[in-house]
Amino acid sequence: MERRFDMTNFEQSLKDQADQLDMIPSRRVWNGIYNNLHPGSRWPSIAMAFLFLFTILGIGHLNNTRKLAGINIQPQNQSEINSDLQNELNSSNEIQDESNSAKQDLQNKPGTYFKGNFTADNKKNQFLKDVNKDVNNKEKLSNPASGFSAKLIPLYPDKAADVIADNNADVLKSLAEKAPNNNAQSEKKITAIVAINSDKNSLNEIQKQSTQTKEDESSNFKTAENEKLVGNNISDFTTNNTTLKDLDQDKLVAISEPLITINEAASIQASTERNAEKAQINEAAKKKQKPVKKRNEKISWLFYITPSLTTATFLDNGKQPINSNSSSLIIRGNQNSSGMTYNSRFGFETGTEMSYAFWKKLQFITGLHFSYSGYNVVSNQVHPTFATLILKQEASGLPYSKGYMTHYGNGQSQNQISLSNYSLQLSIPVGLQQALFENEKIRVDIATTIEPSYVLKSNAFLISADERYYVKDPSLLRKINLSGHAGTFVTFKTPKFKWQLGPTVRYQLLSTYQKTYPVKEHLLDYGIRIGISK
Amino acid sequence: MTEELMLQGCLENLASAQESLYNRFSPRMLGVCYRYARNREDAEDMLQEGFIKVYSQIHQFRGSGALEGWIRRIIVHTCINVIKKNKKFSDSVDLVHASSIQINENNIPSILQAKQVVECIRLLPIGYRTVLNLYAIEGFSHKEIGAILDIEESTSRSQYTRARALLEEILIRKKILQKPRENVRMALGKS
Repeated sequence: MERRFDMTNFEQSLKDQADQLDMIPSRRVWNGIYNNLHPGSRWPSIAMAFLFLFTILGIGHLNNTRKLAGINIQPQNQSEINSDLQNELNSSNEIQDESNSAKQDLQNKPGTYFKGNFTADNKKNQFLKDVNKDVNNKEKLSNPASGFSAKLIPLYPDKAADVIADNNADVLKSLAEKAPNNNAQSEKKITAIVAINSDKNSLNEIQKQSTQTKEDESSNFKTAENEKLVGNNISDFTTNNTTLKDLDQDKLVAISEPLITINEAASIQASTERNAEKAQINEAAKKKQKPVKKRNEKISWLFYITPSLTTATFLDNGKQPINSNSSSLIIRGNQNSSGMTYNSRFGFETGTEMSYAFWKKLQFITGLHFSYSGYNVVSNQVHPTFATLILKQEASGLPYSKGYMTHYGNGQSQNQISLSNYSLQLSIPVGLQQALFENEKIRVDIATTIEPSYVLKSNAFLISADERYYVKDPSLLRKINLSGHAGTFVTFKTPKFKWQLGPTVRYQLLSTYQKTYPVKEHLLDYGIRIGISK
Repeated sequence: MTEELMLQGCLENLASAQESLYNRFSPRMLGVCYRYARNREDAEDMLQEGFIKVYSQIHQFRGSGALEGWIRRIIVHTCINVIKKNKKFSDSVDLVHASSIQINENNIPSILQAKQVVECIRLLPIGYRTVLNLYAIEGFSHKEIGAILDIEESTSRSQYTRARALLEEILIRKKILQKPRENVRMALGKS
């Protein structure tokens, strides 16, 4: 055993012996590595947090809207009501005109007719359905807003025959009973002219009048032989086991004489329409008086996107940022010409913003923003080498160095490449917005917010202590940050939407890196916000 | 799984490839960590941190050398970083009175020689141990050690001399190494 450890070559012997040692790590080591490399389990909790946040915002929004809408009916709302009522009246007048026109048509036309095509008991149902339909149409007639059709009143120019179809078999029965009487001589023609009239009250009136008219003018009731043939082929129609076919297979009995005159019908119609108009206006007024869910004027939502140009400021002892050109900055050490070179890059910010007007022109604003910002580091590839960072111990503040393997140089030679330093953040801004100017078409606001943010993803290459290399260490990057945001916006009001446009500046108040890294990097975004709201 | 497949899988962040790489190299790397750590738990923490770095920097491996050597260097640097965070290290590395250090030799296990040698190394003060590990086992020069540990090159050299003398004495006492005590005393006296 002793011979194996050669004192003449102490280091080699020591190395050989030490390298033979293998140890099996416990399972927790791999579990820790795996969880670090595949942190997918974090997303459900983040998603739940956002769901909770949106739910709270939504509930708050709904509660505010309902309260305010239920309490106030503004004078301007009353004028809206009056306006709506006037519209209703105009509509009624139009319908009245239409009604009069229809009456005129009725007087001019030779009459419309009801034509059946029945073959079985089902046809009876069909007939009943049609009659019901006519009754429904009659109700439409009584409703000025629902229209009026002259075609629903079949009348002869100078006669008005009325069979009150009241959706019961009695009418049909009476029709059937009348039919044999009128068609005892067989092969009689039946013309059923159904007059559909206004609402039930008027129906009753018409029924009374028609009864009276029937009594008065019963002598005028003539058989179908003397009238026009209006319908035929009523073959299988039955009612109360009485088949019209038996009575008259293909012809309808004509009710040749009017049960009421057209003037009387028109008068009743007009009266009914007036009542209906009043009822409808009252109904509309009642509806307007009810608390209506109304949009909360104090709360508004804005959706926006802000294309931006990102640069950064660095703070460290002995290092000053120097402008090299319009699109790049150079951070140069005070020791030699080596340093960090980077170029600005385009980023964006997008999200939604809620504003609540709590005092005249002053608004509280909050929301949810996604922002992507970063810059390109100018580097060059080198052979893999060790580089160190000078870090500070958090507790004591004492400096210590940390070694890294890297193959990225500081870009001070050929074969330059571009490294991306970026940050994708999710922010919840909280701030105030003040209206500076406002008229009917334009509004000018100034706004400022503080934005606590969670860094969803980031990447950073850090300059080494000797400023010759870039190294990458994700553990030195912050996960939580804070930004300040300021902007001036011009809002253009259009009938449907409000468009917002204006310059914004966003400054990252905390360094991108942890406190252990002495260099402080603060991202600075200049952008133009384009927003839309209702 | 071949080394190439493992590398390709690790580049694609495949868990199976990462685990294969871990299973292949973790026993040897834990041995490395163990030489720098105070105990096994610390060594496993170092190993975990080191392998996370390995996976995050795997795209930087160019294939010009052995993969094991590349991983080993990352692990060693991780160990050094962990040690340097410990305040005791900065105190220990400046010790000059090496001969006054008390070694409790009862802690040395009587098992296989490799393990014995490593346990003897771990008996050294952390400053000595780190310099010895870096110079004698990892093959860094004193200049590189000075840069890594933020100490002077001459300090690294003297630390190593004292560490070596102390280790020799321990190895001789444990009968792993035979050498006249006088030589050890001379070595200590020279430094």
